[in-house]
Amino acid sequence: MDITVDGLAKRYGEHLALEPVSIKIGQGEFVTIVGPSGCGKSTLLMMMAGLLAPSEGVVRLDDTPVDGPPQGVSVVFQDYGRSLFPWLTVRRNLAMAAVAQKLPRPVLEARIERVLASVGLAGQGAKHPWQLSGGMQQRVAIARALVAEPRVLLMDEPFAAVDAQTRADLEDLVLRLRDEYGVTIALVTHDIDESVYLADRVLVLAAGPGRLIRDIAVDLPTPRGQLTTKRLPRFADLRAEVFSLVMRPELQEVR
Amino acid sequence: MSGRLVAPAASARRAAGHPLVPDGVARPVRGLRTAVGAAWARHRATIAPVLLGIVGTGTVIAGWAMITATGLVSERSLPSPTAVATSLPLVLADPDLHAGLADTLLTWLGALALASAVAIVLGVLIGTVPWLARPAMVAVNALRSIPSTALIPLAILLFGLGPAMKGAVAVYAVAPIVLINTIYGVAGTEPMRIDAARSMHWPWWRRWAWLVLPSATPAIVTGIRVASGIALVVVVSAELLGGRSGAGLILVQYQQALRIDMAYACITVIGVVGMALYGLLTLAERRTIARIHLV
Repeated sequence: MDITVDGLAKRYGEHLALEPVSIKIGQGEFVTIVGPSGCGKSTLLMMMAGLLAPSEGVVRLDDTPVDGPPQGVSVVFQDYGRSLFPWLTVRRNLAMAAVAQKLPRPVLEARIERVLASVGLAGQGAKHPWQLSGGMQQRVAIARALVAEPRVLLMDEPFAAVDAQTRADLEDLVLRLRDEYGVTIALVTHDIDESVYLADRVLVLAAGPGRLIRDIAVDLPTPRGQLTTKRLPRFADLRAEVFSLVMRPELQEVR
Repeated sequence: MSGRLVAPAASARRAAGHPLVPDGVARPVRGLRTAVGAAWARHRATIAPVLLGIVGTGTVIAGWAMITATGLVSERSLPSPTAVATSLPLVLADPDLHAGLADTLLTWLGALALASAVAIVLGVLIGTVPWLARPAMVAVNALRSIPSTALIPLAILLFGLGPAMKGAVAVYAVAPIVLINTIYGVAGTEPMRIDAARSMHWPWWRRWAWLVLPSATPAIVTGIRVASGIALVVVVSAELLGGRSGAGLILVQYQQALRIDMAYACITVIGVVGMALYGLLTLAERRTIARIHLV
């Protein structure tokens, strides 16, 4: 599923949260959106998800304009603790996500088991989210997004609340799931290494007002690996490029 | 996040009950003193409040006994604790009191159920429609500032002297409590979960049933628990002030028969029943909140 963002802007009264942005994301592409706080990166993602109405412009999925949450798009939210349903088991949390598709029970159950296995949570379905560690809860959140078998996965700082080791695990998990499920992914992050490591393309946003300042193609070899990729001189170059763009306001202040 | 804090506590509780854990049951008990010590250590959390409760009640009874023994208050308005204790079996055996208590409790339960049902439906509605919340709160607070017992004469005119009158006054008294708690509970639904539900394409009724209502449940059950105590007070008050049946009426009859000792025994019985109900509801509240497990 192609995503076309055409002149998308968000305004809160007088305040311009995001200047008009135009992007095209191709089928199966992995795009990361990076920028300092207040650059409107989450705002952009929520408008793509149809959860926030844009002030100007339009989002199209394969030429269909987005007007409310579209079919075939799943969202992984920033905070698993506030987006999962703590009163339901892991399995019920997943089943709820596909309820709109009205699948026959055996199909749904098979799908849930498959997704749980893909995120490394086989056998954890009967537990409640709060009985799992933070990293595992975020895996539940990712699994829930996959149960509906989306063609687009929108992730809003999905690893912000977990420790560094868990974060590396989850990054590799998402890369693997992209290949396994063939989804188009847009992922918002404030972590510069992560934005380069995961992406086919990095979109760099700047704050005050929020705007898109650079669209960088990441020409690193695939499959990516935490050690092999991050050791490459090209990774360091790209990382430095994104770093200087994201940190630019601060650098100007020093001067 | 409390989710992570609660999980280890639960596992620790499980470990404490495990026979292989050194502090647990399997350890050989060396003497009575260590046995008592171990039991105290293990059940301290449950024993301590009971002990403190006994001490508190004992102090009140002792103070009461002193007041009657010194003749500070006349025996005719406050009999001694022993006199009340002696007439307690008499009161407990009175079939009129049994019927009265059953009547009171049925009215109480019916009023609580009706008030809760109405308040929850209204509260979810008001809580989900933002422009309804403010006017509704003003109306509710205005109605609430009229003391419910002041409406008993009016209720007698409307409903007569039967159980409907007591029930109506109790519903009027407690529905706002459940209503306000429901509105707050609904308004407190985590916005990120609402977004999640929207992106999962839940229709409005599913969002209500699967997200808003569970999110509001802890607040609602707390409201019902608080309302239950007030409902009992109001039902008994209505019985005292003109009801034709119920435990309150029996109390009035004892008083009119100049059996003040029996009246006090009757008050004690009503008090114990009220405490038991409150305890049960507190337990149910705690269970529900643990099940919902909101952050």
